[in-house]
Amino acid sequence: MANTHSPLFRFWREFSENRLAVVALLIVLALMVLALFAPYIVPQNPYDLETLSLMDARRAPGFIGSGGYVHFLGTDPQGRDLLSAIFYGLRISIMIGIAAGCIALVLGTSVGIFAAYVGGKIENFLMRIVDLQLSFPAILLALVLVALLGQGKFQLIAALVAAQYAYFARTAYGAAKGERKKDYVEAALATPLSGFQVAFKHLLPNCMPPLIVVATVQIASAISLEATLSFLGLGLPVTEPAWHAHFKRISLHDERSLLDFGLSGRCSYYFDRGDQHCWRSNQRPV
Amino acid sequence: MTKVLEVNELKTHFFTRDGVVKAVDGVSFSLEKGEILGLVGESGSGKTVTGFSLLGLVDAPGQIVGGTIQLNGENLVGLPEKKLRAKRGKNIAMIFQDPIATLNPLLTIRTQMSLALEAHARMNKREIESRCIDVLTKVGIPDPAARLDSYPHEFSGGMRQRVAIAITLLHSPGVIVADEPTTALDVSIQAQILSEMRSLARETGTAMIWISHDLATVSSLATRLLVMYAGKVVEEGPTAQVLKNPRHPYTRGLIDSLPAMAKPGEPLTQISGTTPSLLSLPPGCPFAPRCDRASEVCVQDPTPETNADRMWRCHHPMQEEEAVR
Amino acid sequence: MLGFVIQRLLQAFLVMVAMSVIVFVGVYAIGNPIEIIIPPEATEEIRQAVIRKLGLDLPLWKQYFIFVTNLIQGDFGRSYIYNLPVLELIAGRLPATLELVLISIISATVIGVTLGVYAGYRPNSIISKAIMALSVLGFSVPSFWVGLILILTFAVNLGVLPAGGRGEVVTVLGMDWSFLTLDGLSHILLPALNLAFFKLAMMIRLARAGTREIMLTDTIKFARAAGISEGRILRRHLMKLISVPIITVFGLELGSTLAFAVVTETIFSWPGIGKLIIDSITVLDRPVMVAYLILTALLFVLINLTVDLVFAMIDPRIRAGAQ
Repeated sequence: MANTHSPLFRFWREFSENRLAVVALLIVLALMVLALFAPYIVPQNPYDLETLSLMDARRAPGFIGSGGYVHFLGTDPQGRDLLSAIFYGLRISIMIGIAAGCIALVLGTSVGIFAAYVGGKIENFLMRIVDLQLSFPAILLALVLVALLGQGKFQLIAALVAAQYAYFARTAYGAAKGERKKDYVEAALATPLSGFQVAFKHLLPNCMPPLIVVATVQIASAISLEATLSFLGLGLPVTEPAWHAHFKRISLHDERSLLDFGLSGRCSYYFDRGDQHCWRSNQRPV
Repeated sequence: MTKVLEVNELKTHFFTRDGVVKAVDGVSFSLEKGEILGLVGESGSGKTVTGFSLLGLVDAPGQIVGGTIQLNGENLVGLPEKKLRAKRGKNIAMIFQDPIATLNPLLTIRTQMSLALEAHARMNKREIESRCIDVLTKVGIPDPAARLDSYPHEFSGGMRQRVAIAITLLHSPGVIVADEPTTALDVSIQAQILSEMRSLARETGTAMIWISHDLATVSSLATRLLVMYAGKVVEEGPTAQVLKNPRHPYTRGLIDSLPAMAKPGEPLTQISGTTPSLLSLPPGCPFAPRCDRASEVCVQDPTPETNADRMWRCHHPMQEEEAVR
Repeated sequence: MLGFVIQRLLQAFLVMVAMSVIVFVGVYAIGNPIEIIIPPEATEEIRQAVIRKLGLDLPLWKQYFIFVTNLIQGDFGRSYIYNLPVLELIAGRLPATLELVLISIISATVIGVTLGVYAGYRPNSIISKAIMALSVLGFSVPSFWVGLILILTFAVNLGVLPAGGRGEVVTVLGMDWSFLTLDGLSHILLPALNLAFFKLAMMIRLARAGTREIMLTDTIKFARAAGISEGRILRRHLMKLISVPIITVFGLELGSTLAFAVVTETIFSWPGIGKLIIDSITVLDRPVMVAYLILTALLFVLINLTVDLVFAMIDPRIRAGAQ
């Protein structure tokens, strides 16, 4: 019988039936592995200026440079091996995406559950701010914040967190508000557990499913946001080639890089199972 | 009396990932003009699917895989969708359980009724309006002309269900399938609607199939009863006879568990066990695992037995003398 | 209904006050504009004079008060870089952004809802699967990458469409519009496509999810049981039911399209306000940044207000709740 399997198993069975999702998962995993082991896979560390040689600049794919190895994708105007730069950039993109996504998750969830738990004026105040922020596009907020805070990894993460936490807060708040009314919460409050223990031990686990959906979407969108900011020249300084920063400099005729770059988009294939949820959360309460 | 509907060996199966669910598995019955037939069973017994099958509205992965449905002598099974649609609402209509869910909250009653009317008739605005007022009056909506431009949320629950019933009456269909239409309503309103439906059937000659899990409601309305269990009809007969002298142990269980049947101070009897999953039915009689009269023969499929206008499907039927306690 | 409108107007006003404070504190209080305006070799007297002239020696609340008073009078100050009144600068560039954004989102909505309803109505057909693949692509690929590929394909390789600029414009109501000339249309096609791509994907998914959910409801079953044709069920019942979330998202996305115009305008050198703000951020032209943020916030508030009002018009239950 179907319902004797664990929820994880049922999720996996449903997931594995969608071939596109499985392929996407494999691509994401492959990208993660590439990012993790980049220093062992590619021949050059693009940050290490000593290994760069202007003699190797702007070379076509397949060129064998002064390092004695093949530049499979050619080199950029500083003589960087593009393949190495892409893999190193991948590290930064994934790192920033996950870091920003996770911090935003923790911060947003705390705000949302706290607001739903305490209620009253604090609840109203917090959720008004969140709503205000949600009506303002994340990219614009991140843009302004980066402009104000300056460029750098931490500024970038801070800007992304500030732009994204509101989504988590809204989701957690909505879920917690619904759960708060249920009997089991009342029952838990009747025990000697403190209010905050109830909020985090009982409310939080029951708010997780929608949060996970939002988290997968938001991590993907953090990566994409970071890419866009870098493209606009507001991401990381050029000395740190995140995936897309070095991309801005290349000419439009440099087709191969454009195509390599397209890989980045695929990260979000996997993160894309939240339609039904989006639909529901888009319907305003009547 | 003329038979308006004759269902023979109807089979509706659902082809799910976990296997074939035989939601309706060989159901036969017939309906005469103006007759009210009660279709009783626990949830999951296939009564609602039977109702939807009659209108050809079974959702995928469900499919009618066998049998015939003769509506006024014409078989609906296998009829192309276009021809089926021409019958729906016109010759056979359906009322649902929850009026909040059935009426479109964003359209006025007038719009919803016009849509239903225009599905089968070419009418001008004035004709539409007078027909709408007609049926709304019939179901007891006060001041129908004024309420035509109201939205569903402006009606109370009982009024809303009356509007839904009015929509099904627009074309005076010969058969109405009513799927628990009073379950979501207050008891007092339930009684009102029941009595109105009874007089409607009598006046207009509309035959009804009243689907319910509630034996008490159905028996106050229906002239004949059909008891379903796990996709099969286990007992059929005139309401009074079935209630007084059930032949199938399941029917007896249903009757015994009615609160009105219990003597004060005695605990209510209930049928032990739960409805089996339609995916893993026991061989033979599906009720056997819950039945206190079951024996080895019950692993064989019981053949239906008939006596006058009664039918039951059991190896160990109750005898006449074993009346309800 | 009137009470509802007043309540929303009041809310909108409060949001604008909050936004003006945030923008003021954000842009004016962080960092020192003096260092950007005055060359480092300027004498101390000149420094002091400029500080006094700009009112930067006053307490913060007084500065804010002056800032708001000027705002209300429509004075956003002068751009440090262009040395023009900011409002004039923005007004001159607004039509370009408006036409781009409106063309994008309207076409994305019309096409997206059509495709999405189809995909939701026939989830298993091959066309539906192709539509969904398109939407996954639209969701996954960053907008600027799509823009570059569009330029690469249509402007560089095929050479059929221009890569940037507005092309020929026509002046109507004192503003320049591209979409009224053939040349202008050919210029707007690629940027509009770029900007619409993500919204299209979103509208497809939203319409599809909504359609699938609504088609299973008793409302639709009841309509079918009444013998209403599928076409009319889709046009009358489904479209009405689906319109509520679509309009919400349309409103919300109008704002975000405006924001994403920043990216598209940069790629296609479209001379709108998005390009202006990016240029201003790079050279720290503060008055322009402030004006842009305040005006965008105002635009957002107006959009949200309109969405709420349209909402109340469509959904009688909200109208009832507001009375």
